[in-house]
Amino acid sequence: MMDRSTIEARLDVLLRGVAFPVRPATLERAWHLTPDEPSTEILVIVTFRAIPGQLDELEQAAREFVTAAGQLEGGLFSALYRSNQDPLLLTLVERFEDQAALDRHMQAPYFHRFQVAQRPLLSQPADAAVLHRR
Amino acid sequence: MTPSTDAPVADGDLLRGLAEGEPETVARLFERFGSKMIAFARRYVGDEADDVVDDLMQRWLEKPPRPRDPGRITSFLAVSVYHASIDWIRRERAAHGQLPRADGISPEPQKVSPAAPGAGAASRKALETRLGAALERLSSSDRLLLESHYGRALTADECMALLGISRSAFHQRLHRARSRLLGLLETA
Repeated sequence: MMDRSTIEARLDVLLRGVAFPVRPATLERAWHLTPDEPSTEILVIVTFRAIPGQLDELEQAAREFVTAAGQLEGGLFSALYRSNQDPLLLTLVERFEDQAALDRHMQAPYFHRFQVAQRPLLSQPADAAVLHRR
Repeated sequence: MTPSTDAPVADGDLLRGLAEGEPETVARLFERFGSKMIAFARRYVGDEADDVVDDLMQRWLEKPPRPRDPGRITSFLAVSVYHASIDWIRRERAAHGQLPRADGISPEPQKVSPAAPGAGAASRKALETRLGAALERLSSSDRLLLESHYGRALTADECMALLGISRSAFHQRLHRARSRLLGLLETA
């Protein structure tokens, strides 16, 4: 009969270097036991539909906007995606620390420049949603 | 998916949109579950939780995941965040040259045995297969105790509350579960 420390030591040696499998149901239990954290973060999703033949120019303007937004204090994330399904659609995803950061973003010169640049390139007005992380 | 501030999206639609690589869906998922994902990651990686979840979301935007069960969003998120956290710990340990530990979180394989990565990976895979088979033969409560201890899935206090046992019973039962697992692994 092995004593406790021998068992633990032998098992620890055996398990060293392997990933211990945890059942999804156990992780789901842990998930539900985890308290929520309050957040002030804001997400913005904007979809742009280009006039046929204008997508590249729209994308170029949007990428300049994303680069400039990346320098904003309180701006957490800004990225542009082409749609897999629709060749004329671009989606902009942005995250901000709080409302103040979003306000600074919307008052920045690069924001105004992009508003002006996108207008003649869109087949319909950009569609924006502002989401608050919960 | 049409962006809107007041239209809740069903869990199944979120997972389907995620698998189809829709950036709107990733954002909406983050809107609904981002805080919980960060709180969950914090259990495992502490102050690095924001970065771990940011990296995970970024990965999903670049390479859509394939959820197995579209009806179980919390299970999918819990598993994804847990593995992202464990991977982060492994990378950190490897980056700092730490040796493997018996807590189910070893450094990344290529950093463990650079001299013979193939052989090391094969024996580790064989052991993981034996371990999986051994765990299947244990009771659910034994597995829960071991998952808490070796996999860090739950804290000891959470495990005790779920099993309805005292601290001393927890240690006794954990010892018995380890003993049973060792027996199964050594006779397999």
